[in-house]
Amino acid sequence: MKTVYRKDGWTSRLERTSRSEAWIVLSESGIAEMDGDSFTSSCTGQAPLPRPQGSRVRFLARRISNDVPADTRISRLTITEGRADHQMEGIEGKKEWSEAFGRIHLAVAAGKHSVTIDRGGSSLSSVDPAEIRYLTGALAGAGPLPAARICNLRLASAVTARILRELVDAHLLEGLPTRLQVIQMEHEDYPYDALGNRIAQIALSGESAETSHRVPGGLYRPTYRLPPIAIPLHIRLVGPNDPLSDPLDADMRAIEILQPFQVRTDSITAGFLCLDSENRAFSCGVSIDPRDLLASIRSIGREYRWFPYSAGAYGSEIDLEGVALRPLDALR
Amino acid sequence: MRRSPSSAHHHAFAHVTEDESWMVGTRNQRLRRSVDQGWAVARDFKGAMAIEGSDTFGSGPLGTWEESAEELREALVRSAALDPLPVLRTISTFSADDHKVRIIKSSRYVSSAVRGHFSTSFTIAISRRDPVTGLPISITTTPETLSADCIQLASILKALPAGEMPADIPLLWRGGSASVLFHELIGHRSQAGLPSMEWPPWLTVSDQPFAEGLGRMIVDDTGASPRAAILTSGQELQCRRRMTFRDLPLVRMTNLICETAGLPLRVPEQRIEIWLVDHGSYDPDLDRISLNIALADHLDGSTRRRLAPFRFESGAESIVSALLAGRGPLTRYPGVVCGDEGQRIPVGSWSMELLTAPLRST
Repeated sequence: MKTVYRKDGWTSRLERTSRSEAWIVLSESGIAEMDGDSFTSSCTGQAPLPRPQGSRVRFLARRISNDVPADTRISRLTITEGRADHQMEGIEGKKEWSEAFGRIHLAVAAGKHSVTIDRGGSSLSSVDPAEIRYLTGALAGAGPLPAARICNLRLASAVTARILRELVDAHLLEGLPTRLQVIQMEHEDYPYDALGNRIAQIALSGESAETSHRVPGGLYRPTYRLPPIAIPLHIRLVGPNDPLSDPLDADMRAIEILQPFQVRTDSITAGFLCLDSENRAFSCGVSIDPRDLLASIRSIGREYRWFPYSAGAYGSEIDLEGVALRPLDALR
Repeated sequence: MRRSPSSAHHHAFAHVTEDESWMVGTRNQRLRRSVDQGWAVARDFKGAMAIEGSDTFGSGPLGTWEESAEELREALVRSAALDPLPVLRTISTFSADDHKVRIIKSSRYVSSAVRGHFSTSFTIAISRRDPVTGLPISITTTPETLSADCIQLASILKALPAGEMPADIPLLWRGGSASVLFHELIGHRSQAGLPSMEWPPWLTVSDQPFAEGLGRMIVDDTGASPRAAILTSGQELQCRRRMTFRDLPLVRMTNLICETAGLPLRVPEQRIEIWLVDHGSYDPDLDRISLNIALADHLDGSTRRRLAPFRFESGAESIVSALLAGRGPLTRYPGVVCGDEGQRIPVGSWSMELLTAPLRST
């Protein structure tokens, strides 16, 4: 069955590295056809969508540059906003939908530690500069964890979303306790997958998991120049409706992921930017079997938030019990 | 075509790229074909680069781009003289297994105040399975070097008994593979703008834009004249390159050439011979590199065994202190595709054989 996909869109972005800076405005109008195993794509040659007048990109770039502490350095800052109109013609007729997006990717280093912050939504208004100031401020003040310790650890929503996305993409949900479940969820601003089908809530783990496809979930198309990828979209970890433990029970809070961050079949090595109960910041991390990490989950917060990791992930605050936290240097 | 004023910040760039993926072997089937094209115009904006671009020719701010679009398409047609079928036949001559093959043809035009320059390039990526480990390995080559690389690949992929990873024995980097080590260790340090280190006097690593390799450039992607740089002498990379019109032109490697001189190389009987590297990375914050070794053998006297892929990572200083000696001849490595800043760009790579002290695998 032949499908024809068209996309018209524009993006406005700032790209800053330690050595260069550029403001880039692009417009594109592309077409992709799939017929069995065959995929072709090209530009349509049609006039692209009109470009925007004014942008929040510059405002946000100035704000972040001013807010990042002087004793840190920005290794990479990318701020993007844009819009895309999609059209899909196939067996189910013609479908049309539009999306808008605003994203920030910030890599900041302080001494030997670096943190990567990805935030976004349907516009740059969803990026909170105060959160970025808070995280980079904590990074600038972080000291090394004096010694390894076993503790109860609360993961911030950004941390859980990133770890979950890696575990799902690497098919490492084996060992997920039966009281927990990973699901694909709807998203208010991104309700359609690459074929224009409405993204449905389905279970990706447990007895009720969707098993009719090799990779359950929707289709994700980061560009018209590539065939869509079968991948669960907007994933979320859910558990019993038990509330988070009393904050005092969590000895440490991991508020962002630091390098190194590697997810393998037999181990997750993750640096954390942590705060202790007195809000002192530390660089530390874990090296743990994915099954042990999942088994240590004690409770999941009810509030959740979306993050632009790969095909999207929701994160909630999660409490882990009895985690061996180590100085970051011990993980390298 | 109208010329724009000079400087790296002031140039126009356009390209048409055809990217095909094939399955070769028991059947020759094209799986994917993407044609990408577009233009970008760069100007100064308060010391930064302001780029405007589109995939639609004729919509640019320089006036008509129809002329350049036509010239680029004609260039692509000329490059299409590279019929994929002979390429696929050549590859299947050397192995009956199913291979994934990717052929990328690209025509580019860059203009500045002083020049306008067309270029075309062909890149062929071949993925095969190691008969011993069953794991995929890949090389990147050109039509000119395709046959030689297929012969070399068939030679190093011969069936061997599987071996266990030995502890703490020296590494001999063969087949030009040391160029990948220096790509991470020297090239990426330079791209990150870090100061040069103290290198052994017998080692010279340089970036040579005019060399006949995957990264050959007569004019760089901002219209500037490329210049060679001896990186081990502290010179900085000179060429700006970009993957497509969407991307920011960045200082990148072109053709990395690693030469050794002076010390005689005594090869130990017990060693690991490294042939192909799957992936490498450099962390500028920690000044550390990591390399995934895709194809390596353990030699114990005359016994050769194939090792499972392994990875090592180490601080730059530790690796420099592990460099022992090298010997000729200069050998072309079959392809490095550098993914810095998300822009995948082929880099020509040559090296002599290099002996290093044991490096810790992880």
